Amino acid sequence: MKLPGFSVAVERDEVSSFARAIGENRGEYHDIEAAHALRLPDLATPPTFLFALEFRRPQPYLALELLGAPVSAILHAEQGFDHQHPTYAGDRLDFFPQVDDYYEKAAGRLGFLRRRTDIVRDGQTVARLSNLVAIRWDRVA
Amino acid sequence: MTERVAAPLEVGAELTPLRLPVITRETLAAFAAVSGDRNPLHLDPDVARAAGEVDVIAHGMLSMAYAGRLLTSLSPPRRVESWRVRFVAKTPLGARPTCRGRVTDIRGEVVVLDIWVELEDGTVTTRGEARCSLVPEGNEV
Repeated sequence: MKLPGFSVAVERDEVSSFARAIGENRGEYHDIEAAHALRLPDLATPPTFLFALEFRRPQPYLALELLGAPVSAILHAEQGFDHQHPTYAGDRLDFFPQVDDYYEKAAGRLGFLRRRTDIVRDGQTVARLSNLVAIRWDRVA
Repeated sequence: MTERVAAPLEVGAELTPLRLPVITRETLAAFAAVSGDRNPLHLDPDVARAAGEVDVIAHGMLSMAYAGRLLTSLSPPRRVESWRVRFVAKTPLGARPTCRGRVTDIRGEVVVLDIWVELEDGTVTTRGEARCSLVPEGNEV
């Protein structure tokens, strides 16, 4: 099932703030001159930064809402990143999220929701994010 | 600026462990702000308790973001081609995670690493495999 797509312009400040919050102090995430010295076109994005951009989706918990699952009942089970091309501050990225699968285990006490999101820049796929969350139905009041 | 670790890129080599400061409510609030993940399970003790936790728990993606710093510490900077992890145990408030990695294979221009995050008592919270290109990122632009 396809989820609503959206588009994000990558801002230098956001790259730098994300890096700071995880203690990543390398110059290429904060300082345009340091990035250029490494022959990068702009600030580099940390390895998990695209996940944060993906959280800009208009209804972040739409798939869970469709299942009737409260956000506090989910646990992140798996996360994957496949990067075909590096991304940088200044990029405009188009996100195409979809639900791949939903299944249950433990006699329905645990649900598993698998999503993926393709990320495209100028018509070229640059990355795919893969996400699996567990829904603890037995914790739902 | 942090120094890069010139990891001996040979099969079996361990990366220099990355020891993180203690996880506080402020850590989680800062990560929620930059990652967009404001799930109250990470921010609101009452919601966490109602979901069966002792207190708030850390975002899985915070551990993965910390572990990403192991990958960005490689010298010269490597492009992360693919990376997936499983979140296998929760990270409680007050934990001090350590990120670790080991080279498991070198195939052509790609180095394969096991990457994991563990707590002080040895509990592994996050575990996965990353493939990084040996071609420095800037040379591809």
